[in-house]
Amino acid sequence: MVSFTSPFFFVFCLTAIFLLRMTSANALVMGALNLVFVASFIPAPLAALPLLGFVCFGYCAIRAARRFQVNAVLILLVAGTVFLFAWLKRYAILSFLPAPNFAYATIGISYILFRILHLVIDCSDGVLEPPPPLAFLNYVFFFPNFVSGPIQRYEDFHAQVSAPLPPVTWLTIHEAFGRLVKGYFFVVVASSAASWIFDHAHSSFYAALSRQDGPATIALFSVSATSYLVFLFTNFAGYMQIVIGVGQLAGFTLPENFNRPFASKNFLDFWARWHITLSNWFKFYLYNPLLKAMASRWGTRAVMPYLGVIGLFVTFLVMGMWHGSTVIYVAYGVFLGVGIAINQLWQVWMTNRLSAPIYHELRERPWYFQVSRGVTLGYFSVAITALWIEPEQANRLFSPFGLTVFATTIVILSALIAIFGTLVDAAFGRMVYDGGGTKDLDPPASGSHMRYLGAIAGCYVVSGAGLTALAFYFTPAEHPYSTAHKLFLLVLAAFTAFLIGALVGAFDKPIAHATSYFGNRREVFLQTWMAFRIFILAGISTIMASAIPEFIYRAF
Amino acid sequence: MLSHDVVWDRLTNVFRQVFDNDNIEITDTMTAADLPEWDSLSHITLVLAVEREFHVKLKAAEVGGLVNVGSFIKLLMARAA
Amino acid sequence: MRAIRYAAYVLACCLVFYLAALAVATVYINVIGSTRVVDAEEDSQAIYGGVGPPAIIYGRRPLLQTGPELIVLGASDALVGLRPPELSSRLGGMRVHNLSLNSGRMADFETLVSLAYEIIPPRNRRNVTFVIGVFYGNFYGLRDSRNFGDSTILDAEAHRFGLYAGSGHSLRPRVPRALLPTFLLALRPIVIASESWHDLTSLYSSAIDAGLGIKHKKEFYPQALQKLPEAERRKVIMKLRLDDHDPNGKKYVLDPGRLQEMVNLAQRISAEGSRLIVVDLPIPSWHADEAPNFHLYQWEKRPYFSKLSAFPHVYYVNMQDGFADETFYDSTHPFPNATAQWAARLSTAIAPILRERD
Repeated sequence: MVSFTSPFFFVFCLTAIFLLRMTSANALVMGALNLVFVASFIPAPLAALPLLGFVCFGYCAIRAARRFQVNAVLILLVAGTVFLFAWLKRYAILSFLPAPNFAYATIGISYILFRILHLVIDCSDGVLEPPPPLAFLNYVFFFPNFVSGPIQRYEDFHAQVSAPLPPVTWLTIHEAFGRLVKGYFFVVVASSAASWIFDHAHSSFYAALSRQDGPATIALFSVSATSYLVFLFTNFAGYMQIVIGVGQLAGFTLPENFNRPFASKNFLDFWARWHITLSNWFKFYLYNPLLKAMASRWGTRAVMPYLGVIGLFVTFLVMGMWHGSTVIYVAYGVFLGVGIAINQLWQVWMTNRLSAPIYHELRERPWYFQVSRGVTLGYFSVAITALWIEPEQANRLFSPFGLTVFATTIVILSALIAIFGTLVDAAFGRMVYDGGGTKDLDPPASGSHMRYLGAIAGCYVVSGAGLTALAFYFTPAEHPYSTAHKLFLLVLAAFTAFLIGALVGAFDKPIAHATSYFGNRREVFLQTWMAFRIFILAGISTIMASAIPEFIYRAF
Repeated sequence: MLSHDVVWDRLTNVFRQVFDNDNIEITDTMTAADLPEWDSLSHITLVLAVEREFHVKLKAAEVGGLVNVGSFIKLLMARAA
Repeated sequence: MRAIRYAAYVLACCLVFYLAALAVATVYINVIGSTRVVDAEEDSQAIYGGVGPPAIIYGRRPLLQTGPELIVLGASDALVGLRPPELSSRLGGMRVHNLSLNSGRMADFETLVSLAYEIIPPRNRRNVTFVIGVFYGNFYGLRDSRNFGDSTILDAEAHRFGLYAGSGHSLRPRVPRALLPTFLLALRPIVIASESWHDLTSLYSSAIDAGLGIKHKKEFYPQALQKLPEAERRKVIMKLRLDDHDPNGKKYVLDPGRLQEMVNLAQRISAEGSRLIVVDLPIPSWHADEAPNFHLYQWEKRPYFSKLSAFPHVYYVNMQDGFADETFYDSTHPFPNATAQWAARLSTAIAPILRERD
């Protein structure tokens, strides 16, 4: 698998950006680039055949959908595509069917499925015309969103490809580089750290689970679940930032996939913030049609909310099952479906009990938000256990002991996240946003930008020092650090926290506002700030990889 | 081909009926964020009511793509009877 | 194109930032650190430059100076027992360095000598005195402190930032010798940042492990041992007897070939014009009583160590007796408050040697 920290990825992206810019996204040039990128993931031509076959089938389906704009044909084509997808991905439910007995690549197929289905349905509806073959291939295999999204609609893609590319301004570059720095920090540093914690925690968790040691199992399960959530987010969102940044440099605007999911109000809101393009796709092509069909038949005012619950449950069940091919993912889907159903039912019940305006007012209260967010994130981090747990261990979780652990962990994690969230918001919140925590960053009144910047920087610095102080508390007493050493580590941690803040772009908005006083030199100042961030990221990556490129030595 | 004002009038009635609020005033830029009762559930109710009122059948992509009132009006001006 | 200009500006800024980091690192090392000498031992180098191999590889610049230098080499007993400040104060303020390597054996000593000579200016070689502290464990059949397959921990460190290629005898810098000190200087910010990073992350990882209840193999801390009552201490010490089996269970065997290598090393150092003092370091009596290899060593070394004095400026000092068992916290290492006795004994023995001038 090509790593996006490898020289190949850098060289490829650089080449792609230049070529696309110079040729104004010429279809053939783009096709060649996409081919090279996709081919880099596939070890042998034979391994690419099933994927290509799937795409060809998809194209034929799109053409057929346009020709026979009839519901029966549409259902057949959609079913056929999904069936082919499930068969190629070796879904457990189809395991009785023989599969190709050579190793073949299925990379990107989960997202290609969505692109094909969207075209099939929309062409059958008459909303779109089938694209010409080259345009179709470029859309399906577009290298930025080939590996893991974001899922872009064909109209959007086509509009960007056929129009002249937006000109490159220093603002474009600045923003794109900012995304790249943030993305790489998330992927290279943050997700490695989370992954390290997760590795340690989950093996101990399995041991505790087999010992049936209640408190330890709960504690380790909590740590595993949260560290995996952080790992998943930093890895996925980081890669999305990289991809969007590269796309931006090449002249394309890709849709965002994440919008501060850790500030979600509730589970429904969470899915408007996490893997946004996926939930949007499912909303368009499963939830809306399903609900519309049910509502047009049985849609009275009283029944409507419950139809919504059914629609949500089915949608999330399918969404969960799309994530993987085994029965564990069915469980994942059920878990998600139950969660969202409970959320919706709670809202219906509260609206009935309290009346809509009072309920809305309640939801704006900070404490309600914290509790609601805590439960949402706690529930979700336990739900994604399906994504990492080993099958034999999963069986253990289905025992009475395991299920108690499961339930208790949800409660405990929800409470802990609520408390932690309150603390973080209290520290950052007064300065970052006011009220319920879901509003976007607002600049403060003019004149206090420096104080604002100082306050955010101060939060990071204090967090770093605080974490280190906590670590001193936990460190075994047999290995004492001298006072000078402790002081050094505190300062180092505070400085590192500040650098992390810089890397994730926490100071960007206040600095951008503050530099409005700089006049003409604003651009230079912002470029220098960006160079600083890139320098820090390069330094951290060098240290983590413990490597310096050899050509530096070869020069001598 | 209906005119903007005719569509706007009839659409306002639909909104008031669906959300049970006679004081709703719609604008072209109004989105779900501006009306707390307009969530994904009531969106479908709204779509069904619009289909009934204007005698149109909306496709999946269209239903999902109706993000603000302006997009409703544009679509209905072209398609409605 | 705008993107190229932006990228060029970013690169230029990065260069400026790096030079600034270099300046900060140099000030940090020279002002805050005890960099007048090279010392690989933990307590004096912990906050910067690294301990052990990083200090040896990247912290060698103090050897650039001209003037009399005393370089102590050996395994962990020499590292812990022969402390530069204590030796220096007893030798009239002479510059004393300690480049010892944990689990070091003969081949490691050869590499350490080579590493030292890489930096020491050729005209200063006649002012350098090597003190190699040995005990029988350095002469086992195992060639060197191979920890990772074909590389020793010294090799691994040398390769880390690509500065060196090869391993063992063939370890050589990728840059010309003349430029080596400059590169060591240029790598300072990265080494300091790297070692500080490892310091910080090891703090967090030990805290997390402790928090999660993960118990590691009981590590040994001399300060903790001193606080234990006598009987407890005895028990711990008995558990820490030098293991004379390798990880596969094969018994270690004393190898005369290693003793010959010491003679060869003596010849090499002597040919360079430097002085060499081979010192037999003490071990507690209960260890000596239980280790057949110790007695074998006393017998086997004679023909070889007697050859040592054939080379000009090569000497032998026997420090094996006269140290109480209570001064050791395990089978070979002295307590921190006992290292002064080692320094006193050694300095008394070698002061006359150092006073000689040819």
